[in-house]
Amino acid sequence: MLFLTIIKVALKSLVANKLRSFLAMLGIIIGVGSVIVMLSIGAGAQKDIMNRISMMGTNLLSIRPMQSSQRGVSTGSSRQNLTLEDAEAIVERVDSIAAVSPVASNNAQLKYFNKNTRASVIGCAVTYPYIGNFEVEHGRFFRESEEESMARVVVLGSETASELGISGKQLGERIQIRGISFEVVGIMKEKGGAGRFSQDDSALVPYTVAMRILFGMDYLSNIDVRAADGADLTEVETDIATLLRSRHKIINPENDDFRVFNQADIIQTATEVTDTFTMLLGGIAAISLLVGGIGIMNIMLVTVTERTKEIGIRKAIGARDRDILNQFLIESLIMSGVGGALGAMAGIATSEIISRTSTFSTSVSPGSVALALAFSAAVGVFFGYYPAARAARLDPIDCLYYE
Amino acid sequence: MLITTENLVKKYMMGESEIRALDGVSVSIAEGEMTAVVGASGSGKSTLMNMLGCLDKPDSGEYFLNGENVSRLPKDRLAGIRNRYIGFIFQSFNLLPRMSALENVELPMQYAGKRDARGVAERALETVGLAGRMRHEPGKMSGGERQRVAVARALVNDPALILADEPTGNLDSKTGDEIMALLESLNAQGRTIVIVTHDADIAARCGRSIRMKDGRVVS
Ligand SMILES: Nc1ncnc2c1ncn2[C@@H]1O[C@H](COP(=O)(O)OP(=O)(O)OP(=O)(O)O)[C@@H](O)[C@H]1O
Ligand SMILES: [Mg+2]
Repeated sequence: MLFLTIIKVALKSLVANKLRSFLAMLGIIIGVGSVIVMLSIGAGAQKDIMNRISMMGTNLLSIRPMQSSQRGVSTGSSRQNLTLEDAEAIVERVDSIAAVSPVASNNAQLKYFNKNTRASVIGCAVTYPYIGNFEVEHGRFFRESEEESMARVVVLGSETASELGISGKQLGERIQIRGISFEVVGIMKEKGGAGRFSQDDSALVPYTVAMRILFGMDYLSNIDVRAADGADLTEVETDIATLLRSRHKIINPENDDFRVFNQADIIQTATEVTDTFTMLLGGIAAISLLVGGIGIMNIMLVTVTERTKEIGIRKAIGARDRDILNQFLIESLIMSGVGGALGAMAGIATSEIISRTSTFSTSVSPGSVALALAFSAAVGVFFGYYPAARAARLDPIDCLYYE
Repeated sequence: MLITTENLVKKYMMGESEIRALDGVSVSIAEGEMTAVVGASGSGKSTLMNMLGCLDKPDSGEYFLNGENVSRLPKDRLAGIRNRYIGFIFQSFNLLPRMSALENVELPMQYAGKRDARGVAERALETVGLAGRMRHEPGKMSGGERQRVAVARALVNDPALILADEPTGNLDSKTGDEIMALLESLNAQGRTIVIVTHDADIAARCGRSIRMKDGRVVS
């Protein structure tokens, strides 16, 4: 009953001093709101990346050259250790493999009439779209015969195509890559994503052409493998590693000059990045929540002074110190709670607006709302304690005759 | 004896000089008595009332309330005693704003942890003649009505002792008379009442007067 009366009186005085209460709560509102928005942006980014990665297919393995940790001083040449023969050996000797594509890539300047763009030119095999779940939107992918005959044909990523001003109508036209003329046979479907998760800003050519004509490489950038459906990925990984070790004459796995990446590795790297990012953003927002607590503490100190007489009256009719303490704690908790609720609404609305009007995607999780609310309640209790304890300690006589 | 004090002393420092607001006060008040405390301004009447009401502690001397020495009890025990055995009525009413008359009257019972506070509070307000004003907030009531609410609040925990410090000081004489009549009827029911007053008529209506001067009881 006492508890109910306290809540009722607290709400009444909140409403009676609307502007003041709102200003006091503003810090909490902004704090909770920004925690929710920041976490939702982080979660949205994470979801995006996961979607894109899983679009590539879960059976994907990628073998990349690594500098062996034992070698000490690193040299450029240590990255030139994956060969075409390695890729062929994997096809022939490892079980449960659906497709393999050697990849030889580099950045290069592309030119179409007066338009220029820099793109990552990926030399790959005809199996490449199948391995990475890519689709051709216009035209076709290059053929095995073109791969063998080293035909100068190129399939453009969607972004590269639009940079050069090439659409489905210009198929069959020729562009220049590093000054060599290539026929555009197809344009890939847009996949989305940014940075290394995007393939849209690339140009795909037969690996034979990339290695011998464009870049003069006798080694591979990486080997992409798609395991057969239902295959035991770990087993395939181990088989590949064992095979490459024997081909590279490596006895101790610590000296490996390559590494087999699976989707889990890629997902983990991506998650680590976004987790750090989310924690950083959330942390900054949490600081503003803390600052909001100072606003509450300030207004509670004012309230206690203003209501000194009330404290005296309550003590005269039998309130103990802890009754007074509880009363002011509850009041500050209500203030931070109401502020938190308003902030949560503002945060949810803001992240909705962000996802509709910008390229960021956001995802508000119930957990982040709960976290922000719990944190704001804790802030209310923490910053409300000092003013409440001060009120509780006041002497009843001093309060009763306070003017 | 409900109240017995022995040599109560209360000192205040005003800069260099020491003021003895109470300078050795020994009084006894029996149960059921209606006592007036009179004396010039600054003679220590309010200080004595606060002491009797367990709001203040003496610098020296003893105070026995219903036989128990309460002069050196811890704060929480004193709060409990005020809550259960003592009802206060002040000159300036001292009701809580933003709470209805009913809620004000319920408050002492809530601090006592009692149930059905609502019903008891309603009956107390009926007793003081405010049956129709229960939902009003003090800010919307006249002085006389406010003091009635204060009387009802002082009554609800059924205290043995009611202390009133100039209860009619802020009221006109007619309303003051009504409040006095209320206190007299409570006394007639056997409650011990102590009233501080400057009004000779009111003092005359009490069975007994304690006259104070410079912190001492002179008669
Ligand atoms: N908190 C205090 N600090 C300093 N001096 C005080 C304090 N309270 C009371 N006094 C002094 O103690 C003396 C007695 O005060 P008290 O309030 O008891 O007088 P009173 O008889 O009630 O006067 P009045 O009729 O004007 O209410 C006065 O001289 C007063 O100045
Ligand atoms: Mg006085």
